[in-house]
Amino acid sequence: MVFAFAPIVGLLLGLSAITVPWETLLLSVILYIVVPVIIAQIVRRRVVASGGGEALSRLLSTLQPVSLVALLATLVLLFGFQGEHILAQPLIIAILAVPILIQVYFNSGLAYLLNRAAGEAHCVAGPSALIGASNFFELAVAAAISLFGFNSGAALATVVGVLIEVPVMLSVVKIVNSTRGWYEAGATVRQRIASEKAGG
Amino acid sequence: MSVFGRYLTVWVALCIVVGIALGRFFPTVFHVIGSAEIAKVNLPVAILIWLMIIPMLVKIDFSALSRVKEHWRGIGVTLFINWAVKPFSMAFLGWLFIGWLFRPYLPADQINSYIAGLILLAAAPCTAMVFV
Repeated sequence: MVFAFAPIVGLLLGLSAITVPWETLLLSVILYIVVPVIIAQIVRRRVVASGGGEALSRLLSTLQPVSLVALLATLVLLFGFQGEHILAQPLIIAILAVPILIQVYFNSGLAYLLNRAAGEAHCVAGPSALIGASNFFELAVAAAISLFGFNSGAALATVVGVLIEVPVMLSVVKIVNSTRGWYEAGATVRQRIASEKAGG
Repeated sequence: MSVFGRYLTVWVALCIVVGIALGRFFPTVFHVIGSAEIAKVNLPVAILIWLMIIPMLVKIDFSALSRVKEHWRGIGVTLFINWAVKPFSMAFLGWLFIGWLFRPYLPADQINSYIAGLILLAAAPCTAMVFV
């Protein structure tokens, strides 16, 4: 699925009359997705084989802060380059946040509704709404930097995405949790729950 | 979520301030970092991105994919939104807000670049495919 990233980006950017160097787009997909996936899965297999699930969860808890620190370091770098732009027009951040906010609520809402219509269990619909709306912002930041450069507007736009990700997602979680009653009152959901009870 | 993750917005805001300050006082450092690239790939960034992404990818359990069938509805909806709706709705919103409504308030030469960034953001799928 990840491989659809390059064609979709290429298509949409092409439609918006933005020129993308295809080699760079492809290179960033290979460099930032394919290679890391391979490395990560090799590491995972090795650790599980030698120390089991416990060793894996230990490794993960040591790696998680590394991941966050790297993200923050990238941001420091990015804003080192973007500083002048932003100081000149701090409003840009707020302006960029508007479409992203609408986007997240629209997509998570749509995912939630579709799940309800399809009769999926509430415990799956929640994550589905979150995942449907959230972005792999690390990849976006990386791709934006390699495609358009550090001091590009594109890089800044992806960073705004990082900035609002957590509060927005927490609000989506809150909405999903508080509407559980409404969700399960949906006709198809009710039917499914009933048939599952009858079946066993 | 860890303390670190929960306050991500705070850390991000802090890094923005620190970054802007450093960029202001040590512009040469950033210039050097920015030019450290091979074949258009910036080396410091590549290293940071790997450090950032690999830990997340280690979490993915591909063997769990066999259990996908139980929740095909949820997965189907998620995939549909991720690939068929999200990138396109973002492109539209980007065009509407950045390219049109807010156009007068933004630097003209950066408009397309902002839209491109938004599209990249929306087209990048979430890694949390592990929720099954």
